[in-house]
Amino acid sequence: MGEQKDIRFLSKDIRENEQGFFLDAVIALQLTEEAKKALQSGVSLAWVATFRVWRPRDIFWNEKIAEIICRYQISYHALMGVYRVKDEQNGTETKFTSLELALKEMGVLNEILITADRDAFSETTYIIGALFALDKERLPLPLRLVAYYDSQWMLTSQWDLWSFQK
Amino acid sequence: MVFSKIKLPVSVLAILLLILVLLSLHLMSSATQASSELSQLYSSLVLINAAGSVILLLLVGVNVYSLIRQIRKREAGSQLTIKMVLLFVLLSLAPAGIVFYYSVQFLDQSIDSWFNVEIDRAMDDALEISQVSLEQNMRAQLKKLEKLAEYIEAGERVDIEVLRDGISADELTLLSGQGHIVAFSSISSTMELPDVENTLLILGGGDNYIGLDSVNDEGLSVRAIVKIHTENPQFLQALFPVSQRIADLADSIEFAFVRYQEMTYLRNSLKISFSLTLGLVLLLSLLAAIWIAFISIRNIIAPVKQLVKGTQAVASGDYSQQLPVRVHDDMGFLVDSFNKMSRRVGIARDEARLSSIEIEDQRAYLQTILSSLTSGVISLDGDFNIRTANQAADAIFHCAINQFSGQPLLAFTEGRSDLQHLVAMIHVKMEYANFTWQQHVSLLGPKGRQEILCRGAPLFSQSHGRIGAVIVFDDVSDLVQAQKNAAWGEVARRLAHEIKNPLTPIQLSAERLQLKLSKVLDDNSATMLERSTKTIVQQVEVMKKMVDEFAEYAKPSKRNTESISLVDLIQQVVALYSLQPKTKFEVQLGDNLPTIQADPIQVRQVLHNLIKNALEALAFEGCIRIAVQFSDKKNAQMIEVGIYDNGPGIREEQKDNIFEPYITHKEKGTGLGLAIVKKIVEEHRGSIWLDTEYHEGAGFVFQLPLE
Repeated sequence: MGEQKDIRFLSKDIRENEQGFFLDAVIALQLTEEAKKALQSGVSLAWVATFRVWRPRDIFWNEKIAEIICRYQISYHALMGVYRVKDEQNGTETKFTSLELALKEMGVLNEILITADRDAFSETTYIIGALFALDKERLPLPLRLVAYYDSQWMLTSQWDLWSFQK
Repeated sequence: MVFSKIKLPVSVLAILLLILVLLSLHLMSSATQASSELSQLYSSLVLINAAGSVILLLLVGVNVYSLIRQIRKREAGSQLTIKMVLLFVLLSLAPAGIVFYYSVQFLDQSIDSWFNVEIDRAMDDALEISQVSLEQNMRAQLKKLEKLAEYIEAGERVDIEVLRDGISADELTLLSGQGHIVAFSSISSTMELPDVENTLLILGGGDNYIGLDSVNDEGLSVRAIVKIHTENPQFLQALFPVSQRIADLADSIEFAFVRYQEMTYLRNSLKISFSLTLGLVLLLSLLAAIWIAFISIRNIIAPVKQLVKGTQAVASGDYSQQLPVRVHDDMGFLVDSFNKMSRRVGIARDEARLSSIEIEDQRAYLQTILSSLTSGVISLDGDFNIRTANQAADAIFHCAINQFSGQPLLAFTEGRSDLQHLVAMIHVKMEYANFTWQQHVSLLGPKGRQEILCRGAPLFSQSHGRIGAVIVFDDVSDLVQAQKNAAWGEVARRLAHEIKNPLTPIQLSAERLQLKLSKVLDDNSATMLERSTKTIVQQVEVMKKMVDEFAEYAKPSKRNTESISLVDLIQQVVALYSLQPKTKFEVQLGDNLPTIQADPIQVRQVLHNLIKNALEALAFEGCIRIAVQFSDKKNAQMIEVGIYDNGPGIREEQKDNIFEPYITHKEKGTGLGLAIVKKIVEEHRGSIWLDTEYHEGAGFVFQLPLE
């Protein structure tokens, strides 16, 4: 068992503007040695940021009223010696000469549209949940099963929950 | 049938499950090919196959548990099942295991063969060449841009398009210190503004930057950024084209390098993945084979189980067991043969049972006849062992002969010395007589003398072998006694006629002689005559009395029966003799003795005669014991009276004929006392005998019926 790197939300905030409600978050990302080795060996690492909004209920389970999934990808280009971070939502790709910069850039999530309904979140207090995790299903096939039991590949944050009311 | 209703869903379920497992295995195999779209489902397929393995494992586990329970219960066919399952597992495991082992070895070696040091070095070298080649190109481009920056720093007014042409760049952009575009020139006619958002970020605070870039995914370009050291620092960014040939080669080398690096990194994972897939296939195949083996063996064993249950039923006597013939193969033939066999055995058993019942009926009928016979019948086997004896035989010999069944004839004579002579005679006859024989035997039984007429017949088999004998006994004591009584009656009648008639003239003549001659004779002669005449008259009287008593004995008596208490009668008679000073009487009376129907005068005479005999035997000095008890044997209710003295007893030679008239050992006895007693007792349908088991004196026992 190798070391387990901490992936956690450093900050998160929901703000409202004319287009609706947007979420900004900063995530501290660290890769394990095995993940770094894989990345530098040409394996692209795909990440998924999941955001969910629940309406609390007394008797039944909380009602899920929204789910937003954002996908990112980081890869290494040996010829150019750079790390590329791709935001799959808009297709933008940024190159970094160091892994730390690339991870730092990937951990900054800005203006993620939660809902365009400006009347949302006025009814009651809602629960917002956020999760950032490595998408193991997009790893190369031989690596997938290993990733499910090897702690070196347990690259996921805990569900970060907080309440929000307009 | 219920069986088929249950079997069909299980078979369908098994087939469906196997099809699903095979389909899942096939999909997983396809998914392992990276190009396959199914690769996205790889994890799910692995999970499905693992779940299938678990289900199969559970099914096999349930079957194994069931088999273990069957073995513990020693159920039919369980041992055969375990042997067949083990054989099946061994036969499937051995080749599959060997194939698995060599497949994994082959895979490992094949994957390892993709990589070696030379290829590693070649790939590194190729990449390095590409990087060096590009770097030289890039340094030249950077120098051009730096010269351009120096030119600007010198404060010369320039046309940015001319500058771009001067350095042969595709794009040239002048940026302010804040990253805003100050001037821009491009070889492209679209006049689209360049993406400078990350320019300062890429520079990262340095004075210059040179690197490869792909702009809008349109091939490689060299991006160069230099700082212009003026009052307000500015940045100059240029994109230089890389020749298409070099770009293609670099792309190709990078692609190959990355793929190789990735494969190198995934080498172990690839081995694990292939081994896992193969292992899963092996596991699923094995579990499916074992499960199908259980189902198949169960179907094969089912007729064997039925046969075992059938044979157990036949062994316990149930021949009605008919097993269903489901298939017409060898097992079906065997089951059919078993059904025929058990049916025939059942018919034979029923016939034998009927014969047995018939024989038993005949035997019971014969037993009934024998039981109702007054003659005793004993059957013997070839070794002279007792086989059967009827109740009359028991009565004649006063013992239960049937309890000696299977034992030699001599067995029931133990402690019965009176019977040994009879049995010895029978043995001799049985040994040597080939035909029916007859013998008259007298014996002194526990109830006195018995006259036995014994007849025997040997039994022969169809092959003329001697298989036993039948002996018939008749107690002819009463017949003999009746003959004797008739003879004595005739004697009495003749005595009365021939003896008593001359006595009166003798007496009269003697009295006349005394009357005529007493007057003419002298005194002495007269005295002598008187004495002689008196003697003659007295003896004549005695003879008359004797003849009268004898006549009285011989003629049938008249009885006046009434209900009497024998106890009271005994006490009255004993009271008459109780004055004897030297004689002690002991009277032992049973409880609640009933009354009997009898002539009290005659019964009193019986008691008088027996007590008187005992007193005379004791010479009036000794002990007389009288025991009275109720006897209920063989449905005959009697009062039994025993009179015992402690005198000298009966002499051995007298025991045979003690009850005969004129048999006496007394000097003055007439010899009719016991004869009269016997006559009275028998006229009351009772019996009297000398107790031969009593040896302290003489003992007489008589029984009188209640009615």
